[in-house]
Amino acid sequence: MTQSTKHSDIVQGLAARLAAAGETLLGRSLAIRHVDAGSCGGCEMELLSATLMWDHLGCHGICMVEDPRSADILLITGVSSTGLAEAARQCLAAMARPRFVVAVGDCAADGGIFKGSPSVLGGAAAILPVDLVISGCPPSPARIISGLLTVLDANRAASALGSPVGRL
Amino acid sequence: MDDLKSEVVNVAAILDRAAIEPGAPENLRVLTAPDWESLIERLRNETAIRFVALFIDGGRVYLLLRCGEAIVPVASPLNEGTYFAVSRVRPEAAWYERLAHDLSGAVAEQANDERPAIALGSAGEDPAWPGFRDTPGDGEYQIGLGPVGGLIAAPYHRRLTLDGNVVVATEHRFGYTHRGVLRLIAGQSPRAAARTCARIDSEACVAHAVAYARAVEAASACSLPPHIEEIRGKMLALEHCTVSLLRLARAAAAVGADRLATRLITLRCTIADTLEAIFGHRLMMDVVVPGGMAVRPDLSAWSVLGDVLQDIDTVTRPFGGWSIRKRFGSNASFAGDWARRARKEAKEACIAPWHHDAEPTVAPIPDHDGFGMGAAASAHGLIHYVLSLELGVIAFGFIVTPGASVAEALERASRFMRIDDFMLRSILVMPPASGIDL
Repeated sequence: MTQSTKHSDIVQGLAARLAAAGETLLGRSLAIRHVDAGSCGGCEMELLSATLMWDHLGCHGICMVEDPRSADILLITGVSSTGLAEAARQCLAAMARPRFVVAVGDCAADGGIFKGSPSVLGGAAAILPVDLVISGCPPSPARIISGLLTVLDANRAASALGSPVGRL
Repeated sequence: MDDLKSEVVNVAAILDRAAIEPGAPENLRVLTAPDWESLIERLRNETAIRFVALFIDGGRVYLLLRCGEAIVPVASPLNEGTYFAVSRVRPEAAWYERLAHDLSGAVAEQANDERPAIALGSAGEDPAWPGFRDTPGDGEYQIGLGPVGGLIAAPYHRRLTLDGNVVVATEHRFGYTHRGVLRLIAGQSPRAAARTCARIDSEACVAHAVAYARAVEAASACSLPPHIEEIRGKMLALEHCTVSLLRLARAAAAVGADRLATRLITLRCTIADTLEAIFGHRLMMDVVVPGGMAVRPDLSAWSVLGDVLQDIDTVTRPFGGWSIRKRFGSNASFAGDWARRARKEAKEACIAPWHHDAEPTVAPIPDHDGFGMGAAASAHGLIHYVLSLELGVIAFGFIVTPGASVAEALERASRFMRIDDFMLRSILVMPPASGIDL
């Protein structure tokens, strides 16, 4: 989530994408499947903090899941290394629609400091269609939570727009 | 005893007749190929000299040996891309020989393990894929975990051979997060490469940055401004604290002690917030650079940090108690070690370092070609950097991390462990894969 972009603009953009895809809306909660595509572990550290601290992800109806088939969001951290690109693609392919891809951290945004290495394909967008980027190196737990809540906000906004298939 | 002394003398004699290339803190000793082979043979029964690392660069094989407190670098030219294997006499060298082959193609002759280390072949095409050693015996079965697995994915593949719920053997396959760090830093200026080195392993950002900076400072004969080493020492202690809290929180959550996990992680986040106020970054990335510190720390906030660090004593106290020890079972001592380390490092870090505002935080790096080594202690073990500077840029560099040896130790310890105990042990001791894959 870039700071220069307004929160409302991001929400509207995501909502429009969801509505345009003509897909069933997400439920009231979000399930996340995480894939480390080549991270130093900093984003995972903050993600773990976001799942365990007092004001944690669960309080907002967001949980981490192991099974990609029950996930709404594929959360990618780290650069897209050649060794994990296929794993990330297969994980997304296993997810049911509607689904979002959220890139967390500067490495996932564009490859970060490792851009240009022959072992790195770039950011998450180099291998998957990314819906939302939560920037930072690494982003704080509060920033991760606020970024993920944007997806829920978008879901509500899409509901207000009148998505053609489903309702919350 | 006399035999041992004669071996030491023999090794010393071989090193004495090597050609010397200047380096710091130790000169580089360059051996001929026959002398290299003699040295390796004599290391067989030599317990006083320990193997540290091996790598290849520029048509040479490099070996780091620990002799007492000193790390002695030795090199020898490759013979048509091959060299006499060190793993024949020191099995711990096998990982480095495999890594060297994957990174440079050099072959260790008569090596005792020729599997790839980080090179990932293609399923169905590459006979080395997946390249696991063991096949199950009667009544045993194998399961593979990763590289995408668990709630927060650890990107390595783990192959467990099980008999019921007892682990018979464990093997790891790394390389998934290989980002070509060594190739990236070669050709960069020392200051530019510092940013890359700080992002190798999040649990050792400061340790990597300090070890790297010390190697550059040794190679370039750079003199640091006063008190910089003291601040770096405090930063290393703070990194130990936060990593300890994180490891304990993960382990506490795994055994169902959710309330304790939340208290530990909340304290870790509070410390990270305070570190951001002092150093401008939660993990203290990009603070340490060759020649000093890129950031002037706001020491006025250190008193707040001191207060926060005192809470570590209270929060980690349950790890000495019966209830938590019972939940951790055979892993209680490992959790207790992390808790003790967190308390010890917090005590060390809570007193603010002395630094005057008028003092510089960074010194210029002299335009000096040379070979240098530096080390720093991370929460998982020592990290070493070896590098050569030429014309103001890094000609080559190698990074020795404790990750692979910790993983091997875990593999050995896993035998006959219950699967639940093994997974908990892994949470407590297994370092991030990014530090292994490089």
